[in-house]
Amino acid sequence: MRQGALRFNSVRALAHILLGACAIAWCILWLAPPMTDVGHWIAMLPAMMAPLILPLARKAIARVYARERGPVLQGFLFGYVLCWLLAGVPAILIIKLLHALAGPFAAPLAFALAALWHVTPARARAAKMSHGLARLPRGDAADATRLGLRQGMLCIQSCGPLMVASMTTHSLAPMLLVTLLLLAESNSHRLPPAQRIATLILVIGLLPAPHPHKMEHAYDPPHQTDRSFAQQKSAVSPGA
Amino acid sequence: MRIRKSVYALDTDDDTLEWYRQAVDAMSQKPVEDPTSWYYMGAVHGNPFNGVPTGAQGFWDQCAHASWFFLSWHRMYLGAFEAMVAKTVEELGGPSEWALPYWNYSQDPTEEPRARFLPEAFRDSTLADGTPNALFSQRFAVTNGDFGLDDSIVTLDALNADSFSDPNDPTENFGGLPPALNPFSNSSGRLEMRPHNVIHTSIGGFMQDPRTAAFDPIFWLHHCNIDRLWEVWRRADPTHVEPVEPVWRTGTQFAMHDADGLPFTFNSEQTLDTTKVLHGYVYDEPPATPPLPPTIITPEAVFVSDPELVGRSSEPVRLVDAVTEATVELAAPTESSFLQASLPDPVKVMLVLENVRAAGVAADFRVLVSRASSDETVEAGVLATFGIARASDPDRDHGGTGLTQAYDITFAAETLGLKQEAAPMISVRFERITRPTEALTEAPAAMAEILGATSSPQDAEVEVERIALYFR
Repeated sequence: MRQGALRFNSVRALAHILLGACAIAWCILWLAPPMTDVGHWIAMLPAMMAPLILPLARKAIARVYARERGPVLQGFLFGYVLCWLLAGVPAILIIKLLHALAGPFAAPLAFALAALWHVTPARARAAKMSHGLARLPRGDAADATRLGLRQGMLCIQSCGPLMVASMTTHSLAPMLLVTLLLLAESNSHRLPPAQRIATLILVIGLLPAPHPHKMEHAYDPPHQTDRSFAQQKSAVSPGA
Repeated sequence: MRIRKSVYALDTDDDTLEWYRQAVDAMSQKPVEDPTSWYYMGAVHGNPFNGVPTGAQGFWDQCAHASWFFLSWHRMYLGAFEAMVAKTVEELGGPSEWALPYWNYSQDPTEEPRARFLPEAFRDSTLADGTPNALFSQRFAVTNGDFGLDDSIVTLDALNADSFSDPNDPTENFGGLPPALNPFSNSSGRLEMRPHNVIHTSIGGFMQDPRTAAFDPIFWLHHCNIDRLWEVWRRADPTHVEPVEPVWRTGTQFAMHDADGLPFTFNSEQTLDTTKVLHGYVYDEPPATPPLPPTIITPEAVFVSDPELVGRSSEPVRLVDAVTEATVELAAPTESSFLQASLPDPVKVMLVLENVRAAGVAADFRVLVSRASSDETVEAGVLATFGIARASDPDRDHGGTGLTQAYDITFAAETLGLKQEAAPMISVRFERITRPTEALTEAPAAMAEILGATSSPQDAEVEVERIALYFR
């Protein structure tokens, strides 16, 4: 068999892996009981970011030798995921701060701040840069990790505030809409007008549709999560 | 129905260009905020001014280069401009069916000896009576309109492209590649690369920079020819079809103004039938039959394989001298054997210049390849740098990735030693293309503000992030 055919399969395999991880993450977010903030952040990453990183990961492995694709893919994804995991620390602190300051208005406030970020030139630049590979991979895992970190940084600058806003709701509908918005933006010929995107973000922030199992958690201080869920569970199914 | 004719096929007493001159002159008198003014329409392509007038947001600075919207966007842009000029011509007392002529610089010189020369009406800064010629612009200061357009510049090789947009083969795209999900998405389509880009850079001056190009009246005749070539390609073969993806056909909207200055939106699908593009138009000649497409690729290869990297340069290559040499090392023996095993099959060898960047207007380069330690070189193509500064700017659509240009060099596989067992490296030679002159003519006085904007480096250093050899 020709290696060209193998390579094509490797691209398809990459798509299966990343989109599979994305689908599983959405199932977990939908079906699993309310999670801690850390768990929620970890589940959100593949759910929202895997479809966005797919074209970049494909570009990275398309531009190295066949024998380098494995290490490059691993390094690239490791760097990218590491970046986002580390970003979870300030993200969670910001979410706690928003809940403490704004209570039930934490989510609309977070979306309003994200909308504000989206009309800045800095965000526009980060978005444009994050839609392409910052540079070509050299072919080894260490370099690919650095490239993944760089790409992760750009992605955080571009999408981070929206990720934080989505998590503030702990609700699937805004997360799904934000994911679709980011996907549409990354596939567009050029960035849509910033004001239009900002308006959409504000609208998403006002959507009163949190997940029924997680509604209380969304606006409760995080330490009340377990109790709220236990109360909710006993109220719904007392015999359980 | 308007009929667009070759500028050199116009009768000697035909007044199409005279009406064009008068209309450009009249449109230049309108304020820049007027959507039907010469300056507004020029800025729709690229904005050389400081800032954007109220109401022009979303209309200015739109040109779609190194993108699969290049042809469709420019078709409607031409249509809107033609409608505005035609309306102005009518208001000036001219004919009602004025149509843009096209400059067919690729016409066989034995058929039309003037084909490669700038039409006379555009050459002089003043008219016979000493008044300014509205068709004049800042260009290279050549004599008799001879910009040195040789065979390699006016080639119609692009018509050989099998596909409008083949995501698996960056050399086989007539019209460009989609922005995402593609390893080579910052590549130009073949028609855009040549002759489009190299005509821009060969004329020089305003034409050399996308921000000012549409302020040169010859821009419109050049693009009219490119638009005609799209029509030639799409009518040459029933398999020559535009992308079926909804994001190309209907999913991406652009906005412009019509002849009355009223805004409208359009998508690429609405540009496919020229008789329905605004007022509608056709070209005067029956579409030519292009050369037969290459037959070295099997359908299986098209659908099964993506390009396979088989060699790359180790460091970025800076093109600072008249001649720059670089080497591309081929992969380790495992991939070399792949080369050896696969070349007898219908496969392709591609030389790809990846992420080519520059900070300003740059020269073009002839790209030659040879087997290392061999004097026998073959020409891969021309590295055309039109629009490179924009593509290298992180604040613009390409996010600073620069341009990627791919060349099909399968024909040179034997010469390069790629069919032999050992071909450790190949040499790539960049020769700066010299112009008949690089001095520029004076810009028309009315263009002073625009001239100020063209002060970006005129001979910017070009850097090729990597030279790569791909195989499929």
